[in-house]
Amino acid sequence: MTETGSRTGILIIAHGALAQEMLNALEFITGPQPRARAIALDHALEVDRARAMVVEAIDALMSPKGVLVLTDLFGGAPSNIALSTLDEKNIEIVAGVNLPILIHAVSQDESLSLRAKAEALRDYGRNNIFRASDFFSGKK
Amino acid sequence: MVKLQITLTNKWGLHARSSYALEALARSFGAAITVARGGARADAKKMDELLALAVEPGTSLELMAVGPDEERAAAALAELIGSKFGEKE
Repeated sequence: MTETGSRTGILIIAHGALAQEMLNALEFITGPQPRARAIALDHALEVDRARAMVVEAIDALMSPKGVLVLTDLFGGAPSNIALSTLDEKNIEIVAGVNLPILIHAVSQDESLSLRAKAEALRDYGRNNIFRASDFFSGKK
Repeated sequence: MVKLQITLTNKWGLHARSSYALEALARSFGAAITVARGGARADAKKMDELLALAVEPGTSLELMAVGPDEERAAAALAELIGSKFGEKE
């Protein structure tokens, strides 16, 4: 519990290579994010091993600020594995991660509570999905 | 209030990386900073609002800064835009 100091850790968990690629895209835009990690889960992985990987990553990212776990799909294996750690850690899980959520996550006000950060990320992610033509016709 | 007119000359306009850089720099100042393109306005401290301006290369933007450090804020943002956000051509 040290690599992130007193900043909130960010753990992305998703199917296949999505998590690492989302982290790559995030760092392409924002620069290196040492307090963020990505975990790929697939069906070739045993559940116990997957859970151990998630717990290990959460422990590595943990600080007094806690860890935000961002998963790709509520109800999917990455999300379910994350949920299994919910009762024992200072974590919040947001399912349905997208790039706006990730970018916002690394620029959030650290004085917010972990819960407030998670709620803000949920809202930010929702609010940044557009039907582009609606946007340009002023319907947004 | 400080008001500046500046033209984006970088290759990709106000895209994700440049918007993030602008937001990060704007947040380092206390002044309220607005970026306007025509009738559309964005809070320079909110990347999603900057992206929503859909600014293409060659677009003229108006920067407005209001607050104790407005001069420094406007100058710093203008310098970032003028430097093409450090992007390679």
